[in-house]
Amino acid sequence: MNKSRPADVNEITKTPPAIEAEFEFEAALKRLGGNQELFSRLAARFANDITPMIADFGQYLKQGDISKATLTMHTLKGLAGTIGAIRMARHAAKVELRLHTGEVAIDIDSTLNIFSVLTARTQAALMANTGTLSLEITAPPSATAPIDATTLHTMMDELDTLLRSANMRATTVFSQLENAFGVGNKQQLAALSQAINKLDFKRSLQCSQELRASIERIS
Amino acid sequence: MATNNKKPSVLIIDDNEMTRSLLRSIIQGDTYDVVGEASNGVTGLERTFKLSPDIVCLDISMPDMNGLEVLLEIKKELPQTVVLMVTASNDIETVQQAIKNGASGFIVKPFVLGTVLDTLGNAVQKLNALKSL
Repeated sequence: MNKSRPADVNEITKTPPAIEAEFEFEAALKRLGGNQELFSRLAARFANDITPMIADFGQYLKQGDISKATLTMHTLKGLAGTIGAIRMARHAAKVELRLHTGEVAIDIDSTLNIFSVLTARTQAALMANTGTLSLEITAPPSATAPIDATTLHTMMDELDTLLRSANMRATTVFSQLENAFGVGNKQQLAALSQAINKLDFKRSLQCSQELRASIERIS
Repeated sequence: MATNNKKPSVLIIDDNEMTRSLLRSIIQGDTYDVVGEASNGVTGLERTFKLSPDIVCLDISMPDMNGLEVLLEIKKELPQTVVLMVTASNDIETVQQAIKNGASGFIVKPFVLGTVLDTLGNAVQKLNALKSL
């Protein structure tokens, strides 16, 4: 055993660890006895509840009400876990622990930004995984909803503006765009999705422009 | 009551509407009767005293009056009521305190339908044992 070898060398030379799942909807459905109707109903409610819950959490943090902020994270942890939004549940657990122990200071803006990204991704994933959600959720337009070229360009303009200013709301607008495009422009959307998920705003902007060019070529 | 073929009555106390809805969906049916809900400890206590349910599903983490305090009050006034604590926490101190305060079991989040029903089944056995004393 070479105990003097740094740990990171070990990590580099071996196969990289498997990426943790972000969502485990099938496991969540199984926990609910395979009741798809119940799962869909809960998923819709959760998708609608997370945004105000995170907003309340932000308010509590800004007001210095650590007790209520901790409680909100505790609730979010349980709900996200129930619905199978694993990464959100783990992140909520981590923040809850930090607030509870008070050992690590919480950067409010950064914490809210992370939850904003997780919320957008969770809402999009729930919509993609449950047939009835688009009827109940008050978020992005459904994939089948007809969308005119002007609206599409307006959305893309908004996305570009947000990307230029490295605004995290770009992830929400992108989710809406993804739904608007449906199965079209898959390659460009995938590249944009990858860049946005890495929060690489510069690359995202390039991908957005490539996507825009591909639409113009088609039309 | 749990005897004479009457369905055991259940009261759910949890500050989160989604959690209450989920528990109600799991519990309500041929076997159990969800007779009420409350979104905070104070209302939960009032409804418990008014409805005298057989089983109370009680969230530990609630603002103002937490589940452990509510549990203590319920057991003081209605010792035959079986209380199941609802929690996403595995904090050993909280668990120990809940048992000390008279909790009969735990429903742990994320909920697993079968486990929730098993826990309720055990609660009914406990309820019958308490009533036969």
